[in-house]
Amino acid sequence: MATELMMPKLGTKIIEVTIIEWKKKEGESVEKGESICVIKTMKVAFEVEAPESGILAKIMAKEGDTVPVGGVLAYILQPGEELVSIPKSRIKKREAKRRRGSERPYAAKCCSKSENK
Amino acid sequence: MARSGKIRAFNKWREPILTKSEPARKSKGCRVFNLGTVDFAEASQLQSELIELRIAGKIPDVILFLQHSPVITIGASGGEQNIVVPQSILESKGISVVHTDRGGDITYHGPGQLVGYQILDLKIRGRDVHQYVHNLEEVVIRTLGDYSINAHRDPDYPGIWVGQEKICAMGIRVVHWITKHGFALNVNNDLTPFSYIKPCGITDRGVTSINQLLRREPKIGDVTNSIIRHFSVVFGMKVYEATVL
Repeated sequence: MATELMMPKLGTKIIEVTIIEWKKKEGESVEKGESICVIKTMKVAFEVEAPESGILAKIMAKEGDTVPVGGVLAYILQPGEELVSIPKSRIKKREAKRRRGSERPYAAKCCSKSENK
Repeated sequence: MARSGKIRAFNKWREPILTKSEPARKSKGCRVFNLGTVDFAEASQLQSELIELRIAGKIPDVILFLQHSPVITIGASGGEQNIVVPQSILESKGISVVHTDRGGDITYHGPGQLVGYQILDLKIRGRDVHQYVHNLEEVVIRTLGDYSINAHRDPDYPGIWVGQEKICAMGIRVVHWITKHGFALNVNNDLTPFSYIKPCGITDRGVTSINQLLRREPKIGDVTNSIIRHFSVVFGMKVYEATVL
């Protein structure tokens, strides 16, 4: 199943964070717990870890982009799997959801059915 | 590169202690080490080693206090365009330029500036990066309060300020929720080298030090003790001065 790499919640007051570096490229394999992306907020550089082992299939936000907490940074696939479709408004929807107050637990794994054909 | 005596002592103690110690991840105690003057690269290497041990749960939280030999460091979001003098001037003053993985832009470290590096596990502190920075700032503000210096945060510019002048820089990296790097407080260092750079990319403000504000020489050791005391209160944990992990 495709795993979403989400912008982690870094603190109660942080709502969006900027990406400063991707340590992995699309198509490269990643290990669970390996840091694959560096983000920054104020004076802190934070290493984002892979939630699952697999292949970094699609990077959704490039270096310099600011992404809301909970927004999708990338998709991680298992070998042999393909990313079929990514809902275009994925990031915005998630942000809207958050605003309505349905908080997701930190680093919850999430797979949309539309991606697993 | 010659290793300083204190680091050597530190390494000598580390091995036998580590093999004996129980996993200390939930330990509330924090060990403080005064390392004296340490080269920047050596201190970074030491921090990386400590972080790996901290991630593995083999050591408790650690704070390192030290001073650096003159060095300009460029953080993860900085660039060399903020150095405003030619390389030859830096070379003649014996100042090296190093790229580092901490957050923040460009800054200068040198003798007389108290640098504090914290290797703390944020997983047992609510996983809140901003709260951590806020607490660290609070420690520095209270320490300066001990010297009757009224320091403050600035919503637009990170670090600690006295009026329009910066007295303490901060730059942090978080790896697996373990913190690396920390703060650099100007105690009685020469402030001239700050004019060779645009500190943190900011051009319209100055820098200051405790010495400059008090017009007398504060002792680094006294400032360190003050920080340790406030650290213990603000972070709500026991802080031990230690020679072993």
